[in-house]
Amino acid sequence: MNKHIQSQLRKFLKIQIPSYRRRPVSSSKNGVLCVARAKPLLINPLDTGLRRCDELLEMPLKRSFIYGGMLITATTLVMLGCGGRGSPTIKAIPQTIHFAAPPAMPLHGSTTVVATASSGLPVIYSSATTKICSVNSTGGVTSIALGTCIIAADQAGNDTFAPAPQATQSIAAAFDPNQTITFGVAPALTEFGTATVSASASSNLPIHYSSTTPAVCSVNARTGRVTDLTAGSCIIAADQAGNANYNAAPQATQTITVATWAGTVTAPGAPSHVSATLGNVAGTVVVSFDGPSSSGGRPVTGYTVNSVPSAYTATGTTSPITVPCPIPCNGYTFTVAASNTIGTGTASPAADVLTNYDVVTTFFEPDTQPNDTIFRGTFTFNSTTQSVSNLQGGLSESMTGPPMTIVPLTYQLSSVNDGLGGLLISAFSLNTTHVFQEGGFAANSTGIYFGRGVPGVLAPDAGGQGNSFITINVPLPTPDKPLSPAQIQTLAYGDCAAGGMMGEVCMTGYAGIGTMGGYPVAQTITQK
Amino acid sequence: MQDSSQGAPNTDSAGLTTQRATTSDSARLLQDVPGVSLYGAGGVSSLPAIHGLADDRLRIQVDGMDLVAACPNHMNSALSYIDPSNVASVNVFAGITPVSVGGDSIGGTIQVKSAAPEFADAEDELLKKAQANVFYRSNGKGYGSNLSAALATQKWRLTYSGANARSDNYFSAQDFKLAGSGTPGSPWLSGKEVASTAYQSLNQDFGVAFKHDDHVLQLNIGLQHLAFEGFPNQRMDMTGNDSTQINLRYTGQYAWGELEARIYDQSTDHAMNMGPDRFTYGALGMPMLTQAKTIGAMTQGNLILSEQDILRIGAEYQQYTLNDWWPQAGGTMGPNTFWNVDFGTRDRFDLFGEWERFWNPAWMSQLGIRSDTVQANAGAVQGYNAAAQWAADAASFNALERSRTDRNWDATALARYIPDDTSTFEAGYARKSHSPNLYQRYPWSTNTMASLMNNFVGDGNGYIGNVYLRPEVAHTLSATGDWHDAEKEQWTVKTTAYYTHVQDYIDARRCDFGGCGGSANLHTRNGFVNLQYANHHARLYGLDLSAQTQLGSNAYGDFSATGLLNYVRGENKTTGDDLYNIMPPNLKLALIRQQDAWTNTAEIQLVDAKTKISQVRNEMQTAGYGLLNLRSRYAWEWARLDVNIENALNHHYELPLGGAYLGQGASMSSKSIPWGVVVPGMGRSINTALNVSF
Repeated sequence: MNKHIQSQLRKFLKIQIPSYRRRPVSSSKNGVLCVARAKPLLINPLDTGLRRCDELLEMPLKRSFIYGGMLITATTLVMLGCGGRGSPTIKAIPQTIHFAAPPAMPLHGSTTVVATASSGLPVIYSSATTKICSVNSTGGVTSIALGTCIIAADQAGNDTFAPAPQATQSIAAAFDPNQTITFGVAPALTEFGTATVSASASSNLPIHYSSTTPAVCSVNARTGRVTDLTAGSCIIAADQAGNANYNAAPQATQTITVATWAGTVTAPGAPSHVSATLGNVAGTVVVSFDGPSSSGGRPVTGYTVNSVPSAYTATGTTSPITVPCPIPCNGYTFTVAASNTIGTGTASPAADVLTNYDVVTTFFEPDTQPNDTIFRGTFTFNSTTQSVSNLQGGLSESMTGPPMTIVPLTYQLSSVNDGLGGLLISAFSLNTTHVFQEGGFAANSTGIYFGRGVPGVLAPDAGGQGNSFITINVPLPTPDKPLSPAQIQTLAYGDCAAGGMMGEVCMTGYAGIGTMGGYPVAQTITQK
Repeated sequence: MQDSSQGAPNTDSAGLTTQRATTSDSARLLQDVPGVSLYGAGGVSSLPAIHGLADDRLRIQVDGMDLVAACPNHMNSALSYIDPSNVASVNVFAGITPVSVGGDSIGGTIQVKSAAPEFADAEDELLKKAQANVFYRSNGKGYGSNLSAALATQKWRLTYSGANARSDNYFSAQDFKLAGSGTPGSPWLSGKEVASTAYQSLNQDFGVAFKHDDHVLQLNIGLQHLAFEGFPNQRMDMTGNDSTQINLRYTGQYAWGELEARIYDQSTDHAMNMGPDRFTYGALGMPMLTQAKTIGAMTQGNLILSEQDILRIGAEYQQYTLNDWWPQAGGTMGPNTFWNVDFGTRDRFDLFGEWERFWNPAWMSQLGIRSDTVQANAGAVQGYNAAAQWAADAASFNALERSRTDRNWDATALARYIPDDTSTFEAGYARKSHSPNLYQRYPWSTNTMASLMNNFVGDGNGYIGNVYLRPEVAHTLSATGDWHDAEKEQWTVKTTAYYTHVQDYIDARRCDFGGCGGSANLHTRNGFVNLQYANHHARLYGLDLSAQTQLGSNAYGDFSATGLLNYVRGENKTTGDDLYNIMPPNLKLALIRQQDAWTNTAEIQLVDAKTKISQVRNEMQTAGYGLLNLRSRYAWEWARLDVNIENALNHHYELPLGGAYLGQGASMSSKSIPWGVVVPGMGRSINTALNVSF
């Protein structure tokens, strides 16, 4: 720094600094020096008597002096405020951003915000609450969920103007408690046959179906499966009773004209939508189904459930039908056949015994207490084949929060035997098993993210797509059997999403101690 | 060894010579001083302890400058700024430290000095002196050199000294941990290799002095460039330390006495990150940067009031500024800079007066009182980002009133009785105080990863600051007996017993809030934990015993023997726990044979097992051990050759004050490096040094 500049700067500081003596250094990305914390002191380069701002850029990095008992290190002070060792940005004139008055916005509706920069330069909008609202480049805001929507506006500056401090505007999405119900296209329904109606509420709450013509047809209140009893007009009503947030919806109805049976009278067709799941009573299987679309021209009088291979059977007049099947019921599938006065129709395709479970897997994280890494998910267990499918759920990131960020894991891509009588099932956030730099998802990896160093691959914290995984253990033959201590040790996770990263290292947890010290402590599986 | 007028054991240049061949760590020069032990740290940065009180509980001056460690791990300790080769004398005030040399310390004072300026005797004479030294140490393949030169007339003197030293990792005598590499692809570390103990340092000093009659003005500019220093008991290594020290001092003799004045300035740029033996956590690692500035001034007058009375009065001022920040490193360690200590300040202003009276040839008394005002503050902080765990901690810290002013005072009373030529007795009382340092008050994050990085005691635990800490106040009673022959040539026996009660001793408690680890952190007995500094009461007591005797002479030379016994005990009276890093009882015995220019020494060092440990810190016990050191020196008029065999029997041992071994592996987590391994001592090393004087 030449003597003239130094002299001018000192002269200016003598005027400005005393009132800020002994106060901590503050931050600003603008101006020459960032001096006071309580009230950031922004020094306009022109006020220092310097004619050109970029003269200051020539200040040596080590230049410093003491004034008023306070260390004044010009570049240090800039650096302190600007987040690290680097050259100061001190070229530009400050600018600010102002929002117009906040508009009203209905929940799930849209509106527009207007922000302007004092420089006249265009602003960039972004949502600071992406789970609540989104915003486009022109300020169009769309409500996603209930809550306070925060829209941020930035202006990056140019050769003349410094970057503007970010401005934000909060908009409370107005909640509409009213809801409506809409029916889909009416299905075709033949005499004594079955069909399914479909209605939905604007609140997405579940619909309750009923028949207003019970002499003509009945309906499953939950599924909307309609069973015809005679020819005529079948009227189905849909209701939604509301909840703490929504008012009850006005009832909607749909009329189905039942076609009369025109062909030869036969035994009924095969029931549809047959499914089998383990019953709540041990040693039983509950078989659910819809009646046949084709009644054969006569009312259905009953249903017969048979196991394949043949060993267990049960009969009934409505779905579901419970059939015995000793634990673990592996190797067995089940069919359903309908009967009428003509005879018994063809059996439905055989259904495996599929049961849904909830799973909670916990890893103790000594270094992020009170937060632990917890996976909460679901999966389907196939008792027939002793296999697991559709493992998915969310993995908490214990370094974040509160509340903790949850990483969705939706791709089940691996299933291997654990050698201890269980299955190791792994689910991933991306549709690939490559999580770590060396490829794959070995639990004892050093944890560098996959793709590091590959040209074009962004790091997870820089917007790249880091993969994450969970490995749970499903004991056989019954998933809800408690894990042995040895099986607990087989649980693992790796998290290469941005919130799980320490530098380029993903957070992991396994019995050998993860990158942040995490290790598995518990898993519970319960039938849904 | 001899007694100074103020009762400080003094290790002069000759006494230091033997140690220089063995170490590049100036603190190691103190290891034969009664009552002194050393905390293990980096290869050139050990932290001395006097009677169990260490680090900045001591006042450590290098050529009169109070240099402050600017690092959350105290890596750049005061004594790391002077190379052993440049040390001419060491004064250790271990008992009742006079107030004129104390202040803001409760354990004692260590004064390390380079050579006093020497001027030509005659007006037309040009004094020319130079000295060069090279050394090699087999264990760790350490080597280095130093050069010093001086030109002086009767009025002016110019000096230069430069010293460089470097070493690879040292090896213990046997495997003490599993072999492996710190990070995939990095060098393989055998079971014996003590990782993160390498270093590379360069210290230089330029001096000019002017003398006019009885007045001497000295200006020294010291430069340190420390390219790397590994720390086996820390979770990071020092990847750079650049420091400039400017020291202007005046000494004048007047009819009324002596006047000393000094102003000094130290600017430090300090960097830490993962060294080559550690897991690197990607391209950036975990950079931690520190900038600090120390400005000091003092003046002291030694007034001769009468033939029996000396009055020492003085004033001191020190201004210390510290910024400690951790640049973003990606993931949850970003996108912001993490401010560990933001614009920390710690300023001191001291006044003292000390009256020393020689009542008669047998009795001397000394009374002193000192006022010590310490003002500390720190700015608001932020974590790496607002979404992660440290955001709440930062908000809590920023809401605190952080400014603190401590008005401390010290007092000493000392009496010395010399009944005859063969004995001296000394007893005294001292009240000493010491304010918390910035790293005890202001580190704020309870996140384990962050707290683990704030640790200057080497135990592997995480530390969280406590803004509300009170100054420590120590009350010490000490008595010394010194028996010897009339000429002090044939034999001496000296013993010092001491008892210190420390009010508001800064110990630690298990952290039970924020992200400290919940109940597991409170109850863990065999792992690293999170701690917060806390004021407790403590007591330390012990005994030092040193002796030497001439054994006789014959055709094989002159034989003598020395012995040194240290015992110290430290207890936390609030919790009943033992204090951390208290050296177990230890004994040194040496047999010395001297024949003409050849001196040979065989030394046995015996150290008891360390069983009194700090439970709150999960301190590790260490086994007792014995070492044999063999040293030989041959001196010519212009040169000197030292050949030492340290740990000649290659015995494996754990350093009682070495701390937890953290030198390799993934160190950012409390669990990823196994707890229970102590930093071991060095295996056998053959050290040679050649010194040439011109």
